Amino acid sequence: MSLLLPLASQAAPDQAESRQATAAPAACSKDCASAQTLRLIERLKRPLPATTRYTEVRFVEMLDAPLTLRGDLTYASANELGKRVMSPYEETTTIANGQVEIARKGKPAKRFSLKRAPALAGFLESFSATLDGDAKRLERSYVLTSDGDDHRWQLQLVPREAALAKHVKRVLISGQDTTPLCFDVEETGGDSSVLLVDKLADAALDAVPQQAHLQQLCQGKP
Amino acid sequence: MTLRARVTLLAVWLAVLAGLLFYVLSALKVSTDLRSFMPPARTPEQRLLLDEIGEGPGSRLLLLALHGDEPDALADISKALVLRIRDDKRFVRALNGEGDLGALAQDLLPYRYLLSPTLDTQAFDADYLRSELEQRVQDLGSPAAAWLKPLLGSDPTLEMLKLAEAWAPPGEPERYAEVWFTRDGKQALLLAETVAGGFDPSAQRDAQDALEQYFRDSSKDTHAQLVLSGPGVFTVRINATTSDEANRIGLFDSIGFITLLLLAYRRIGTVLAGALPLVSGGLAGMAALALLFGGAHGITLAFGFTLIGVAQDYPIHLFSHLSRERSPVTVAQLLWPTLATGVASTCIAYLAFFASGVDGLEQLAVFTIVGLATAALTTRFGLVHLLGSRPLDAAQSAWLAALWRRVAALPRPRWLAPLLATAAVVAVYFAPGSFWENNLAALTPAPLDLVAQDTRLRQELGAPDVRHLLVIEGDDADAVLAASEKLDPLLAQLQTDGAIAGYELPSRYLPSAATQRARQAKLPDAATLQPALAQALLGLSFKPGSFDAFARDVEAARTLAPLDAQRFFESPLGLRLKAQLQPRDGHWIGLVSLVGVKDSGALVALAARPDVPAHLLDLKHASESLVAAYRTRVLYSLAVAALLLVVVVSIALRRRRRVLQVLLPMAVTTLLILAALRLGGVSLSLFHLIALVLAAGLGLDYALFFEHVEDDEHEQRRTLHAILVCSASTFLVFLLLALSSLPVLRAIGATVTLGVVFNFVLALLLARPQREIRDA
Repeated sequence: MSLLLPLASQAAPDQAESRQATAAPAACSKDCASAQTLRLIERLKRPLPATTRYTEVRFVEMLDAPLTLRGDLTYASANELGKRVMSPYEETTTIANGQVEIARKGKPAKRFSLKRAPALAGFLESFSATLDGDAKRLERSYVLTSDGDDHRWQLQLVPREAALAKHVKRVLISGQDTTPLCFDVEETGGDSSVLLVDKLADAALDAVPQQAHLQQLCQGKP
Repeated sequence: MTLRARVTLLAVWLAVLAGLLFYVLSALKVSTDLRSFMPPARTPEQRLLLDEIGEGPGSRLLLLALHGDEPDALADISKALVLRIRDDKRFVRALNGEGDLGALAQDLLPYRYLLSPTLDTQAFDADYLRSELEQRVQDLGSPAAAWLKPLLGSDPTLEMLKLAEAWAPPGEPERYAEVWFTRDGKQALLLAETVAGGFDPSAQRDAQDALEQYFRDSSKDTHAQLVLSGPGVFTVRINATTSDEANRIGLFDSIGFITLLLLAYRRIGTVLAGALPLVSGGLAGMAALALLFGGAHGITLAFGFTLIGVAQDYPIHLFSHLSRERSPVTVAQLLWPTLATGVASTCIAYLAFFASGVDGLEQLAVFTIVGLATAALTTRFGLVHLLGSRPLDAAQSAWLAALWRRVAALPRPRWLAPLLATAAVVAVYFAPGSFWENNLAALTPAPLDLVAQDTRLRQELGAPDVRHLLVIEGDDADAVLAASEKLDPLLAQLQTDGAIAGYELPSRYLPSAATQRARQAKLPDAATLQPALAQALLGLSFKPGSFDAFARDVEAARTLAPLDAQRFFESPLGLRLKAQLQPRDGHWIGLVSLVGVKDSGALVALAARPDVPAHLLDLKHASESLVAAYRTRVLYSLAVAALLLVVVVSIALRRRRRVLQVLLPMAVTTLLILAALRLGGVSLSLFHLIALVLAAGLGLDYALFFEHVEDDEHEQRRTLHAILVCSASTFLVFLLLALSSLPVLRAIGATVTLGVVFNFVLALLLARPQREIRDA
């Protein structure tokens, strides 16, 4: 579980600092993030591959009640993410090189392009850039704002490109110290999902989880 | 004739030629489709090949590969390219792997329950719906939710996806960013099917130029490059290299030929005027084709120009016999009986081709007869008046006189002809290898690197076999579709056995009416579906009314008239079905493409079974049998032509001995050429046959002139000069062709070169009258 905690190698902070020094001034021209926000992101960098358990709550318009899925996430590189659902059913999603493959027991695997799942693409972009501490990359795709302090913080990402904005309204990442705990993705169609990772992955939830309760959890309130 | 009169004559002549040229350019349509050159079909296989499918759908497929840039850039180009190709009327379809869920037109959507095989094995009962809906819940929780969501309300069993999967080509390649890629991920792959047949070079070039243009438009600012392959690409490439090489050789030929004539006659004006009869003959021949047929096949023209090449000898005979003592007109009058005998007998012999009943050969006869006659008449009645009064007299040349004396001393062995003929027949009989080359493609082979590239792309794309095809025939479209459904399990078995890698049936797109009705009968009515759906939804958290659209579509599908071919043709997928299901004079045919044929024997065995409603078309075999049939026609025509020739020459020369002297060198030469070619390991093709005819025509002329010498020694020297120039120029022209790297040019060149040599020597040894020796 603690793989997402910073296993700080000597090299990692140096890299982050040099990136901050060289890249930050040139990258952004409009709605630029504050220095504090950029610093926050750079602190999030961690070594790869990283694995964590997760709990995802998906609010789907077609359904009366949200879906609660539990399993683990493996983040191998910027283009590679594995997501294994273990309950309430088993399913493995592998994203690699722009292709998504969904495998279920006894069924032929579904394969499609990441471009057909823009919300997922947006999430993957924010997820991988965050875990890479890559403020520059993140700022290229999103308008970034942050809230809170170094101990308890919230990072809000609003897509810059129309193509992504058509599908994703905003991504809200909440965390503690240098560890993200929640990825809250709000889609334009009314659907949304909250992904709880790390120490929140096994948080106790109601049978029918409520958005408000999840928000509180993410912000570290009991 | 005065200079002024000569200039006027030349001006009028050139004006007439310009007029002819204009008429030919505007009225003569040159077709390049091999089919119009072929004889009428006799076997069902040939009929299918010629009338119904052209060269098979496999031959119309172009394989495209994009490489040289990042995969994402290539994928974008692939998508842009496909859109452009789909808008172009020259293409039946363009595929790059993008799943087009909207492929079924909006008004046909309820038909999905009749088109998809789900109901063959399933009922829409509570159990089945429950298991499907549970999976949909999981879909909503998965990343696929984004694109499945819009479908679910009306299609919870995802029939549209099943159809899209079924309609994907068999043996699909890998994908990246939704489009096909090679396994190594470096090349994006596409398929485009042209309307034009694969062996129609001009239409294929047109289509391929369009593709290149679309690629340039779509790939601006990238490093991407396009690789095109497929039978049509070979056709265009071979056509281009053949005409390039023929043009290059033609240029060298012209230079050599003009140099030779300048050396022989030392008068530039004479040499230039000498081109007029041949040009006149060629233009007149083409004008006659335009007038009588409205068009001509490219091969007819190529053969035709080869055959009328003999007309270049007519001015040479005239020039060589010129002297200060006689006017050109008098010389022409003296030569005319001999020349006219040669021309008339050749022309009458070509009448045999006119009766062959094959368009291409009839055109060839018209072109050759009109061309040769025009060239001879313009030499006799036009060219003579253009010549100056101070020509070079060949008889005055010292080296010619010396040569003449040696030639005159040559023996004329009577045993030579029978000996050579016997030896030639024996050699032909015992020469190894097959006598005939039926595979026309062997004469115009595709470059090996192109073939290797094609094989690689074909495997990656799972593109259909170009050679084998199953053909279903039926009274109507539905009968063909029903037969196609019967074939499905049989072919599936062959695929399991590994005999084929895949197949594409017309019924995959459109099931027969009976199948559609059977599925329709299994659709539940509202009173059955509603409770089943309600039961399936129990415990799942779908909002009420989520699947109202589904219930409406099922109800609508229950009363639909089965989808027929006509209506399907009008849908976006119509072209794909049209390529496989076609009406032909009162009946319908279905074409089954086969992919990766490994065991053609298994296909032959399958097609031979009485319960299999299709026959196997082996396109290679069918086209070879057509070529063989064509050759038979040519051979019959040649036999009749030879008879006619003997008759005409006999009438003209009257005495048996003279007839024999003229015909023997030609006949023996033909045997010797055959023997030489066969001993050289060459299998004979149509091109060899046509070249043999040209060689025979040359031989006839040489023999006629040698036989018809006057007693005057100077006149005899002039005849020797004429035949030397004729044979040397022809030898030069065809020797260069014989040295070509292209088998088709080599075939014509080698045959004629051999013919010139044998004819010249044999005419010298066999055709000259005996009295010459006495005189010498």
